[in-house]
Amino acid sequence: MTTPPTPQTLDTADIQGLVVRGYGNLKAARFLVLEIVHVADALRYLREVCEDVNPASISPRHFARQIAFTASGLDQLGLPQSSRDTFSREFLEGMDDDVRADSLGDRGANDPKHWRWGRTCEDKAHVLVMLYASRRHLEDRVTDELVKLGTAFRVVHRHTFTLDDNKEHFGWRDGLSMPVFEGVPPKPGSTTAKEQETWTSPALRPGEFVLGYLNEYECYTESPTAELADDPEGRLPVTRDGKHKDLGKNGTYLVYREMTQDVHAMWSYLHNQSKEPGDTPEHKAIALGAKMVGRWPSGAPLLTSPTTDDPDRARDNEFIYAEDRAGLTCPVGAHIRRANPRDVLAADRDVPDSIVMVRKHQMIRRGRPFGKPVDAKLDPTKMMHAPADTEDRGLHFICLVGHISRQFEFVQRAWLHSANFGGLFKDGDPVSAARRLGGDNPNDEFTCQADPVRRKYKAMPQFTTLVGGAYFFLPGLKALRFIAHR
Amino acid sequence: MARVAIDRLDAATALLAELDADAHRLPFAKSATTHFASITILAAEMYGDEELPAMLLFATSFCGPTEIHVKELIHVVGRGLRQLFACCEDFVVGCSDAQLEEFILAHRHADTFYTGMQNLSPQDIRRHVELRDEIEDFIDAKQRVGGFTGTAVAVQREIREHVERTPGFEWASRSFAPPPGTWMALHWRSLILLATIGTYLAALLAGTALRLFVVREPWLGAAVCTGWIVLGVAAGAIAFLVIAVRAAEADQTFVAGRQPDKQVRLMAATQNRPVINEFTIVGAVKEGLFRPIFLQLAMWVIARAAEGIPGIIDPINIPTVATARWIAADRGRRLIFISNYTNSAEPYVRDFIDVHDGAMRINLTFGFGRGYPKTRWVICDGALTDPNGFINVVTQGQRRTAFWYGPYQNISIDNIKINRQIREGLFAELDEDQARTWLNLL
Repeated sequence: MTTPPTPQTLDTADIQGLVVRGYGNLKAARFLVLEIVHVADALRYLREVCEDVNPASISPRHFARQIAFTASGLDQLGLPQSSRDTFSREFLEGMDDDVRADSLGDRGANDPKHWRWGRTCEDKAHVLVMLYASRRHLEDRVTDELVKLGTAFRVVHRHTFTLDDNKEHFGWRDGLSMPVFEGVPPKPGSTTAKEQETWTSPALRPGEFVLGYLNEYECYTESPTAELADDPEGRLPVTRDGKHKDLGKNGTYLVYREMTQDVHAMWSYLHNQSKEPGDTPEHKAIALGAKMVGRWPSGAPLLTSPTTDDPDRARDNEFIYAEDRAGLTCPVGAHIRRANPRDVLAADRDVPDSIVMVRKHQMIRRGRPFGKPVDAKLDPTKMMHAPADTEDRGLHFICLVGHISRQFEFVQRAWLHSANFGGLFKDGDPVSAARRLGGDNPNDEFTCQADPVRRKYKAMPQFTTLVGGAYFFLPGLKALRFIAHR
Repeated sequence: MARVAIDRLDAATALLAELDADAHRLPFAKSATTHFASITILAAEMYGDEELPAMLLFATSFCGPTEIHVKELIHVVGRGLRQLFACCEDFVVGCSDAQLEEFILAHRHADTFYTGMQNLSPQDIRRHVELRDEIEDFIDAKQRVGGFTGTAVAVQREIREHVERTPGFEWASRSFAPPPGTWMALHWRSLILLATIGTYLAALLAGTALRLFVVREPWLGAAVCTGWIVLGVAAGAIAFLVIAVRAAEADQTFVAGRQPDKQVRLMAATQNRPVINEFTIVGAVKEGLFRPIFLQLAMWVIARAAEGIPGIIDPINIPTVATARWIAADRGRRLIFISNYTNSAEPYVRDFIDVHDGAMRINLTFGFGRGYPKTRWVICDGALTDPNGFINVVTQGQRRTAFWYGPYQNISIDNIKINRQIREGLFAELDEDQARTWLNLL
């Protein structure tokens, strides 16, 4: 019998709050993507605000600030080369690196050469300042922050827009099925206990998401360090071997992808193409959307609400796929099944193996929408009949991982965007994939398994387009002070 | 595998680049037996005081008997191979076809081989894709005009009748069985091994019983005694080898560190095809007297296990792998791994160690590589406790494959398996549940 691993305690006073909470009580947010113009002033700003960056130990009621850096941002700020080289390769190379873009499927309309901001665009990303506040107070907070930023940075505002019921622009509830990890007490009334009884028991090791802790392999994820001599003030803890300073401790990597959502294209496709059961064309369209996502717009999963949307089941998350291997209820290629295959990874994997593997590819998601919705109440029927417009709307996809390649990039390549996921042939992720039309490895179909035989949807347009993105390092607060006091 | 003449090494490297750039010079696509082909030049390297020579590594994954495959290779790509082999020390330039065949067979190296290709030929795989497309189109057309209304069995029958009516698919209704002799070709080694061990043990036990209870003849006593001594010596030798390897494990100090980012990126760039990629790792074995012996023995045992005990178990089932081979080269001093697989390099390597049993198998097969994380009793620790070290040693050993042929650009190994099941089930008599399961493959 295997001895259960010893639970770890997180140093929440040193971890930025975004790791443990999405600041759902602070409905408004603004993400400032900053390009450093004057290094000395930039460091002065960081020194000024670093004591006011919110730790995970306290839940803020009115305002929160979080700060992260790209590799080029750390270069600009003068982080020694010896420290820089200890960051992960994917962080140093960047999301828009040619090889990585190929691997991530960021080609065609998603190609980094079309992006609004990133590592190599005109609008460069060096530092990310994330401001969270109530709707009433956000603009004042942003104004204050801009004063503090002064002329040290060139600022690119990334606005957010809170939609009702934590929904995204297509009309589905977002942010469900978060991984539960050790060291974070579950919220009262959450479904955490049930989750832990089913496919993620016990809670994940914190090293999956926070550097400096044991991960699911029972070892420490590679983490950046600094030379002992580079930290004479002793701001950083010492590494376990005592040879370096631990720059990564209590930090994590933050993946930020800004994507627009073509709501009109999606609902038009659903309305015009649906062959799913339903009383009216609108019901059929919603049913097809549910098959593509794996949940109904309310958030109710198909596994527990197979035939109709049931808002009472909106937060159900204790389902597994073992009883639906064939995908007759939740299609094999549905978005949520690709993003998190839970207990059924592939035809030849048994349930225990699938769970062990899937646990090593989890992400904490902290996305926020931007742009005004097509319909204020995100009513699918109204959205499917609304005319096309030119509003810029979409999602700031943000996830936190201890290992970018093993977690985010693996999921993106092997599960979400693979045309061959789960034995499928030409199906990319129905919601988020960049389409490869014809030619090599097309992925513009969606297979909806059914009895007696599947329904297939073809020539699916691309519903989301990537317009910016970068890999950031979200340091622990001690590490932030170390960076700020260069 | 053949030694490259030192003075022809640069020319060989340049020639390989040309061959890779021009598919007409090594037109494997015309081969009816070749699934995958790769060519790599292994650089010379030191193993203690001994130099392991530069080698040309030419590997094909093929279907059917070796002799037929080699003859076909000579017919299809013989010209290019002759140019390439001219860089090897003992190749006779201008040789006849028979001499070329002799050269290839003489330099064939034993390996431990796994295949997920389902006993299919390249033609089978292409045809199965066409069959599937035809069936999918039929279902789509039928659904555009109202769909299917009958039972699953009736739907399967309708699909079958459509295929029967469609010109060009006559082959689909023919019996689908591997050629005669396939089973024996795959399992004869395991059978001989099992038969030899089984017969030896049975005879020894029977002889012992006879000697104890029935026949008191001295010659029988001597034979039984010798039999037990041989068994004891064999067990002792294995135990000694295991203990020797364990002692060597305890002494290990070097574990590969993070490899230069530039090199890792370069390798990643060569294995970024959307579905199937190729992967070659080459590395010297950890130094010592007993590890090379143990490695060769382990490879041989795994090879027999990979063949499976006929009809009972399939011990190595790797869902993402089309073919994989381990070669203990240079008398066990150099370990080579070549794989054709679904996915790109990094997720593929992760796939090995995400599951506990998988990591133990990886320890057994890769754990002898220089720089591999410290193992304990061969299969414990290693990649299990140091996954980063494992990734580092893999990237350290990764070699850029100078030439690769892989014809299946859009289908995964899962797809190949599913297509085979579609063909098998199409003309089978299925009950309603079986027909539903079959229809779910589409």
